[in-house]
Amino acid sequence: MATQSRQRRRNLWIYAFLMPTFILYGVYTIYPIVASYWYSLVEWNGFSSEQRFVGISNYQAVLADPLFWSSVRITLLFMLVVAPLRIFGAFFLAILLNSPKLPFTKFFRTVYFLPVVTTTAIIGVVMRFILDPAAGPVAAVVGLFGLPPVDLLGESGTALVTTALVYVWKFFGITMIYWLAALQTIPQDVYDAARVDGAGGVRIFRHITLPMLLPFLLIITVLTIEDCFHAFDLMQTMTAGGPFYSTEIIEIYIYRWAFAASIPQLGFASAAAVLFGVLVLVVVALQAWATLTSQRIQSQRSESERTESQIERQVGAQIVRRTGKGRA
Amino acid sequence: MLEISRLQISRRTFVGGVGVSALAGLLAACTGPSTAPGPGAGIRWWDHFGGLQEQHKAWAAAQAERLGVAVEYSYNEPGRALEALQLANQSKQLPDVYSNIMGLPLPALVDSGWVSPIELSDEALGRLPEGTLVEGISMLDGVVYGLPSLSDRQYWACTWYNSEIAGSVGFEPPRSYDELRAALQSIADDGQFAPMTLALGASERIRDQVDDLAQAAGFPGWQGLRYDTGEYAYDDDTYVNAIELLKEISDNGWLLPGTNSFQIPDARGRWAAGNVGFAIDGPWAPGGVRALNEAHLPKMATAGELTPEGEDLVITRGAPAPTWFVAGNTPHADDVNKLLESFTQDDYQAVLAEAMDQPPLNLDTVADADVIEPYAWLVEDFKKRVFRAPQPQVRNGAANEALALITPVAPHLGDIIQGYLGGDVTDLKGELVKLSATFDKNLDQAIDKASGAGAKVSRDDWAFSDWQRGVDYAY
Repeated sequence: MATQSRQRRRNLWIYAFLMPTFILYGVYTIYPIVASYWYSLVEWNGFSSEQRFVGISNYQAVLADPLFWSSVRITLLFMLVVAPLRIFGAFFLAILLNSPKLPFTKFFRTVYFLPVVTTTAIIGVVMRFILDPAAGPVAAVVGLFGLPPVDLLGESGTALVTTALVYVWKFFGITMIYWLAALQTIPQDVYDAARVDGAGGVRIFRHITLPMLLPFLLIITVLTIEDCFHAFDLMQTMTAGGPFYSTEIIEIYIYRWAFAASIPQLGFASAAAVLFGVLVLVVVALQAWATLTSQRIQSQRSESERTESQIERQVGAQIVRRTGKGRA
Repeated sequence: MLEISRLQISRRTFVGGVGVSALAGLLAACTGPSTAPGPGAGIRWWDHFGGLQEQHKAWAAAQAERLGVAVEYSYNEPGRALEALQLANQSKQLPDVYSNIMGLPLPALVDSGWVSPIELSDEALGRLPEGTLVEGISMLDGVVYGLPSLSDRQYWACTWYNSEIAGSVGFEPPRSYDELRAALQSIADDGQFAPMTLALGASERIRDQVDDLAQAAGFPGWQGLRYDTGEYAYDDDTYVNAIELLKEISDNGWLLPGTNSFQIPDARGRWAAGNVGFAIDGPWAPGGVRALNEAHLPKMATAGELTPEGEDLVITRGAPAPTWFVAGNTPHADDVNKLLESFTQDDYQAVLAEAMDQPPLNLDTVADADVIEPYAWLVEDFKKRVFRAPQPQVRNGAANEALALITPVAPHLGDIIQGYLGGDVTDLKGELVKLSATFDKNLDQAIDKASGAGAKVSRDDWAFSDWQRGVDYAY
């Protein structure tokens, strides 16, 4: 009886500690998700109290809008430019910064991480000044070579790439930290043993570092890709989706209909938001499936290689026994 | 008596106690009465007039003293003001007085409880210029719901130029497209200054300016909609010619580098820095320039608004839109009405005039106000050249039901102009034809929906075959 009572009291404490998380998660995550699903089924401008149920017509309207598909294309393009640069660029930088031979590693780690902790909107505004074709430092450098001003953010052909590179620079540090943390998991003994066996830097990287970091690739890729879908603050402050929609990622498309339209279309914007959520889910699921499949194939291959080498060893041993070779 | 030695607090009990207290505090903060400024703490006044911040702060303080109630003034940047009001309304914290930034017609706001009636004394009503309060725009069934403070008699595409550069380079104030071309060419040839800048990145602003230029060029309507037929015609030659003028200016390299992505403060700020000859901006430019670089004010000069051949300018505008609304749930209705009455006073109108932002409702106050000469000249020009336009919702109040249901169009005119100047749009005429068709379709759909809901409205309400250019429209 006393044990049960103690157990109940203990459970009560567990629930008490969990309660703030449940409440905050419910209010700030679950409720908005559920609400946006509801809003996507109604016609509502955010002003009137009337929310007219329209079924799936908001979804039909979103899917029929060429600018929605343009924003999907731009979002995916942005992700395809940004994610590999972040993942592999940060990977090689982390390897470099993890080297015991490199001096001032702490300084360099801080320098690369500094943009991560800087407010994104501030970076967006500052970058506009830096890239200003009339008076920015980039224009000054270009001018030194006698070249005409380059309007990187004002030309639809260069705006997306420019914002993508700024985004990579801004968030490079966070991916680098993931890789550095992953590198810390490789025991130093393994490296030492390899060196004793005469392995050089390239072989150590190829046969120790790379295979041991591979399991981290999945989670880092998933986190980075998911992160790349959220570039609203930087894009809004740098280009606001322009010029002529050339940098309008889905988040800006949603914002434009929800808050920047003369008569806000919250139902339409919510439908676009739900479809965006589905897109993120599909991309991450595809990516996870591809990675897991390649890992499975790889482990099957190494398993079969191991089996083959075991067979070879056994066969070799039998031959040795039969021929008597190898005996002293 | 409690003995301290018996009070055994384990680590778990302590952390748990702190957690529960924090949770209780959080819940109390969510549900309890707020001590922060919010509903009930006095009059809260929000607006989006950046050039009037100091003046409105001072006015709020003076009115608080006069009324004996706190008046808390807050400015919201225009790009965020709409969002702020939406969020305030959803959390039942709408400010008692707020400026009109919503695109919804008055009946929709009344029906949704956003606004409440404004009761003005006879004295205050007597101070308003004739024709200020109009049924369907600021009144419904004789009840006032919105108070205008700013004049409808204004045009928005003013040709501002730097008088010092004009003196140095030697060009005359341009009145026609060719004169502007010649002036820009002379600045470019001189080589010391950039010829021109625009807020091309703010596509809504460039849309307004081209709407204005097209009307000045003779387009018989406003924002693409013809008054005479009630049909959209963005592909009219007046639009095409105005856009082609901008395209030529852009292609000739006469725009300051970066103009393609300039927002309004960027364009105005660069022009106010003193190295750019021309900028197209509204009459409120001096107020904005003062905030950015007051030293530029004496160099400001304007040639009014361009017409293709320098013809006499004729502009039409609808009845004054409400500037101020009173929240539907205000607990301070009496005091708020008194605050709004103060906006009709000559001294408040003088404050508006001296801010050199949008012209005040009573344009006559500008003549005696401390303003730069070009601003005073513009306001005098407005009196001569701006006429009252016909509006479907004034002729038939039910048209408001359809107006509330119109779906916004994207890309709109400003986007197309930006795309055309940047090379993303190649078939201008085709895009404008498509734009007109989309607007026509959206208006028809809105009318159908409103009719289906019982409103007696038809497309005929948008056609004013008796409208005459250069004459105030009377119903």
